[in-house]
Amino acid sequence: MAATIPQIDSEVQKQYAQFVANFFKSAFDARNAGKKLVWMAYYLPSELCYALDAVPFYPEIWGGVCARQGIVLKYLEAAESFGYPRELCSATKSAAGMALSGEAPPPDAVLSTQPVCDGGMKVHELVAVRYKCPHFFIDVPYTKDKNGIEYLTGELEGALKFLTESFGTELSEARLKKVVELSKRAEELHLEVNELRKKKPSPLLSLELFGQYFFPCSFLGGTQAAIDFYAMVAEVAKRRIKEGNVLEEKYRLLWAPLVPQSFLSILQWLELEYKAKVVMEMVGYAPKIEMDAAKPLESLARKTLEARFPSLGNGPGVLNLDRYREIVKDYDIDAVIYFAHWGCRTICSAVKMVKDLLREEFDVPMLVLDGDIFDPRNNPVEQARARVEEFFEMLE
Amino acid sequence: MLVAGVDVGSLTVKAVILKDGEVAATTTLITGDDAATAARTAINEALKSLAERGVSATLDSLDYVVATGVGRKEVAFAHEVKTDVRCDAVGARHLFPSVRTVVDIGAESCKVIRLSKKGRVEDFTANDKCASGTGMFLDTLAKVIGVGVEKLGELSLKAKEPAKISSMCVVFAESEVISYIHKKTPVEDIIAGVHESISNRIFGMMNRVGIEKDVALVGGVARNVGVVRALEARAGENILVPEAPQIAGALGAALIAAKACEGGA
Repeated sequence: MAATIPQIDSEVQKQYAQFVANFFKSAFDARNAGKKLVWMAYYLPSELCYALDAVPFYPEIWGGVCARQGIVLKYLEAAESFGYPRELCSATKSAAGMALSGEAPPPDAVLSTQPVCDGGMKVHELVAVRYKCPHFFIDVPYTKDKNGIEYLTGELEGALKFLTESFGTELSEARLKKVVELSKRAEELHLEVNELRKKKPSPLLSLELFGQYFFPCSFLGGTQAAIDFYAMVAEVAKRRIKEGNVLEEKYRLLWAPLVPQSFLSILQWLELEYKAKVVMEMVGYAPKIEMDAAKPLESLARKTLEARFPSLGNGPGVLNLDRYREIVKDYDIDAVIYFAHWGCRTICSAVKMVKDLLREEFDVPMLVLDGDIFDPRNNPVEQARARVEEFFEMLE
Repeated sequence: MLVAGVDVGSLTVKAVILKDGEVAATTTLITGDDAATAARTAINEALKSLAERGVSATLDSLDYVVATGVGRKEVAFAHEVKTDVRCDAVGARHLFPSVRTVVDIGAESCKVIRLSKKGRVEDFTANDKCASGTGMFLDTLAKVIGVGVEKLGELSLKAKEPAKISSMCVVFAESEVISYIHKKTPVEDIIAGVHESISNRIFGMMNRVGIEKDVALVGGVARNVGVVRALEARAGENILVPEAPQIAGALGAALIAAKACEGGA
């Protein structure tokens, strides 16, 4: 059977859209539903909330959804009117703008942390002040060894204690273990999906799942919804392979580390124009994580330290180069597209290090695209297309 | 065999006609607001000069046309379009076979391209964030200084103490230049300062892709000897500049067209 181009409004795409909508609807409905809402830095495990039947809200991720819908500017402008500089990361600024404009669900508590950046950490302080709600800072180490895991386990224990005291509730150990069990299963399924993406040609489309691989595990970790999502994606991938309905590919790409919402159209264009498929993203890569429901907080500590995008910005950049090595080898990457988000020192400062690594160890070329992750005022899509054309002409 | 390369830039359109692999005619015109018409006119002008030397041809009779430049996609009559990066590389390499680093400074863009020993494009970078380091930057500041852009190069060579232009943004650089004018700073020093500012910006881009000898400078700004000298001083390298640097991209396009005719594109 000849391969046809699976539509981007495929089953995966539709379910993902519903998935995201439900996730954020639960946050906006939390108060009416009598549930506590916790604003969280996107590094932190959602399982902490689900263990307490609370609802997590990740403002930077909501900022991304708003960017995709073309409505993020009001948050950015609110933050800039308050005094935040134009050059600051738009993800951070969108979170600040939400708090300042009051157009986001009000938190009952705030959990913050220091990775990936100072801005992300400080903005959660602003949120806590703005809403006059309790705030707890989780100190995340960058070492993934025994000491690092033990330390973070203690920090997460402190966070749970803070939440139970703030909410006047009791933690159910059984519920916590159940949540971690669900989280573990979602991680396993995510690994299975990523194994399927190693196939040549890769059965999933760039745009279809871009940025979605990490979402369920990161923000709905500990829920049945995340498990159902990954199971569905794996099923779709297997079916396409079985039916031979997989889009042809000439170039296998790694996209790093993030994609701006306004660049999504580029992904499909890459597939159609150059047969260049994004077979892995830095945020979509799932390392194998040892999780044991009998040791729930230790499991969450391990997961947090291996977290997807944030782990790339935690600690010295050189520690994260191994992940590039693994992906390039495991997914047989031909080229890397690296989006250098202007507002992010972490991302921009790693450009040379990553580029040199790819060239010296793998002879894999890397295209650097400049722009802003959310801000539509700083996203020259046509310029990016021109750079992509030059890049692929170079590869030919 | 008659082929053409046409480089549709933001300010000028350049055409090169090759006859049996040799440059037979070239033209440079203002692009204006209609890239397609400008490209057609540029080739027709080149063909006209060719006719004066007894070679009669029309655009339709050309064996192959390759378009490049920012407006390349508007050139409907082209058989093929190629990016500036590829065409600059091919053109510069043809002019200087030893070249490994090509710097192209056009009206609104600047690019640095690194080539392999065999001339294959290995890496490149372009100015995506601002107009500093481009012809437009020079043009704007020349107007403020009150000197024709074509005179900037020679004047800057007379500078004794180049002014410090620290702003990368053309608007802020303009303010700096105005303040130097108010301080009665010699105009030669101001211009040299502007050239140094551009060379600093380009040098950073060169380092980003890695400098390999030899280095060639192409694009319209390469006609400014002041920029060439400033870049040589900054990079510590001798920089090769072709006689007509602005047509290097169109030449590359024409060479690609010739190769396509030979069946080797």
